[in-house]
Amino acid sequence: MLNGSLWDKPGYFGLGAYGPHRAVPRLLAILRNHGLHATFFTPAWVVEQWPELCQQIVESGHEIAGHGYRHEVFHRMPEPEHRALLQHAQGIYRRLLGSPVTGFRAPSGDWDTATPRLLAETGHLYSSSLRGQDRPFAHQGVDLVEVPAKSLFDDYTAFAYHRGPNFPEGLDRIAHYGDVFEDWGAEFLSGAREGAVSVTIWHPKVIGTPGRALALDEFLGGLLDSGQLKFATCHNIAAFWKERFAS
Amino acid sequence: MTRTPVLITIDVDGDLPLLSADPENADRQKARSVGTYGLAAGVPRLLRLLRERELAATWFIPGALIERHMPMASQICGQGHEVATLGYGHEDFSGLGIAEQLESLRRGADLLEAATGRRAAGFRIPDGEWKPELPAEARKLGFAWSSSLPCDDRAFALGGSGLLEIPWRYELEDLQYFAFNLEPRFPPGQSRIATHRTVFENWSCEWRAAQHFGTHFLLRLNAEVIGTPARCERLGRFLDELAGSGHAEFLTCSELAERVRAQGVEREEHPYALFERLRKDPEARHGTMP
Repeated sequence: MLNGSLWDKPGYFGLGAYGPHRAVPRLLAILRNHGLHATFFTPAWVVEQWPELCQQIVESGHEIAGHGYRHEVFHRMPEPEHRALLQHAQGIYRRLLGSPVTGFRAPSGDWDTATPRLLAETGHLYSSSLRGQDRPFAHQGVDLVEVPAKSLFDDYTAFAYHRGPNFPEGLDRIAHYGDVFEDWGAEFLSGAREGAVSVTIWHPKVIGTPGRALALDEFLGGLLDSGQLKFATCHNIAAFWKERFAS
Repeated sequence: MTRTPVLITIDVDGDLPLLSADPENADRQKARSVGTYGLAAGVPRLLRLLRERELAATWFIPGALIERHMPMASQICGQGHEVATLGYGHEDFSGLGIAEQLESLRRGADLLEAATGRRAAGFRIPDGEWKPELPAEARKLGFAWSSSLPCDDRAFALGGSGLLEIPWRYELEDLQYFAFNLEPRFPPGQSRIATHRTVFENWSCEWRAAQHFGTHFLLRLNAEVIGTPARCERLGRFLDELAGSGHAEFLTCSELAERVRAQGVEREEHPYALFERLRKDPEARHGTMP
C-alpha cells in the first residue's frame, strides 16, 4: 500500500490500525498475565505514529526489532537507498525508544542479497527473515545471526482476510481457529523434543482480534502447563547462540 | 453485570451484486438465482427463525430490490425489525464519485421510506470504500449511523462528522465462509465452502471473547447465504445459546447507536481521526525519511 492507494481506503486503513489501537494493548495484557516476553518487529514509521504504545512495549520488558521504515520491499533495492533506510530507522528507534534495535525481520517477502551485510553494518546482531533451518545459524562471511522462522507459524496464512484489495488473492476462507492452534502446538512440542527453536510470525491486527486473542491466551496457558518449552525473545536466543557457538 | 450487545444484521442483496458488476450478467439466470434464493427462501426462513425467538434484527435492503418486491420491506418492518438502506443498486462504491455515492444512499432511503413509512436512520455501504466527504454529507441527509467498515469491534465516531460507525468484522460474516458461485467466480480462487463446524465453532469462540474483552458482537449475515435449511437451523441453535447464557443483550443498530451516544463516544483516540489527518497531509504520511 506504499503507492498511495491506501489513502482512498478508510476501511482498509482501519483494519491495519486495529493492530496498534486495539490488539497490541490486548496482547500486552495476555503476555503480562503469563509472564512472557515477545519480540515485536515494528516499522520505524509505526513507532513515529504510535510512540507511546511502542515505549510501553519496551517498558513492559518486550523487545522491539526492525521491520523497515514503512514496510519496504528490500529485494533488489539499490544499496545506498537500502543502507539509508536502515540507518534512518535506527535513528528513530534510538530517539523514541532509547536505543537502536539489535534485530530485524525483512518485510514483504525477500530481502536483498546485500541485506545481511548492511544489517551488520548498521548495528544489528541478528535477523529473523529466513526459513531454512530449525535452529539459529551464522550468516556466511558476515557478523550476523539468523533466527529462522516458519511460514506455517504466520497467522496471515490461516486468518488474514480482506476484500478490495483481496487477501488472500483467491479469497480463501478464514480457517478453523481450534485446528490452527492445535497444529501450532504440535509443531512447538515436536520441535522441543528435537531441540528446535520455534519462531512465530504473528501480526497483532490478525492474531489480536477478540476470538483469536482469547484462543491465543488459552493456547499459551496450555503450552506453559506442558512444562516442555522455554520462551525467549529473539534477541536473547541470538545472543545465547552467539555466545555459545560462534565465539 | 453488563451484558454484551449482540447485533444481528442481515443484508438482502438478491441478484443486484451481479447486475451491478456487469449489466451483461442479466442473462445469467443460474448465477442470478443464487442471489434471488435469498428473496425466495432466505428472508422468509430468517423471519420465521427470528419470530420464534422474539428477536429483532437490522435488515439492510437496497432500493432496487424494493422497487421489485415492494411488500418485502414492510413485511420485515411489520415484524418489529429495523430496516436500513444498502443504497440503491448494490454498487461498488469504490467506483463512484461522492455525488453518486450520496445519490445511491438517498434513493435507497427514499424507496425504503415509501415502502415502510419510516425514514432509515442508518445505512451500509454494500461494497467498496466511501469517499472521505461521505460521513459528514450522510449526516446532513439525516443518517445517524453507518455499519460499513470491516475494521473494529465496537462503535466509534467517524471523525467530526457526527455520524457513528457500527463496524463489522469478516470473522463474523457468513459470506466469507459460505458464499460460492461458479461463474462469475466467487471466491476468485474457488476455495472450498467452509464446514458448519468451522463457522459455528469460530463464532462460539468470538462470542466468548466478546464477553471477555467487552466488545460488541455483530453478525453480518446475507439472506441468500445463511438462509438454507441447515445453516438456519444451526444459526437458531447458536442464537439460543447466546440468549440462554443470560449475557447477551440483543439490540438493533439504532438501539446500540442511541446507547453509545448516551454514554459518550471516544473520538480523538480513534484511528479514523488519524486516517483523516494523514490523508490530508502527504508530508506527515510520507514520514521523516528524506
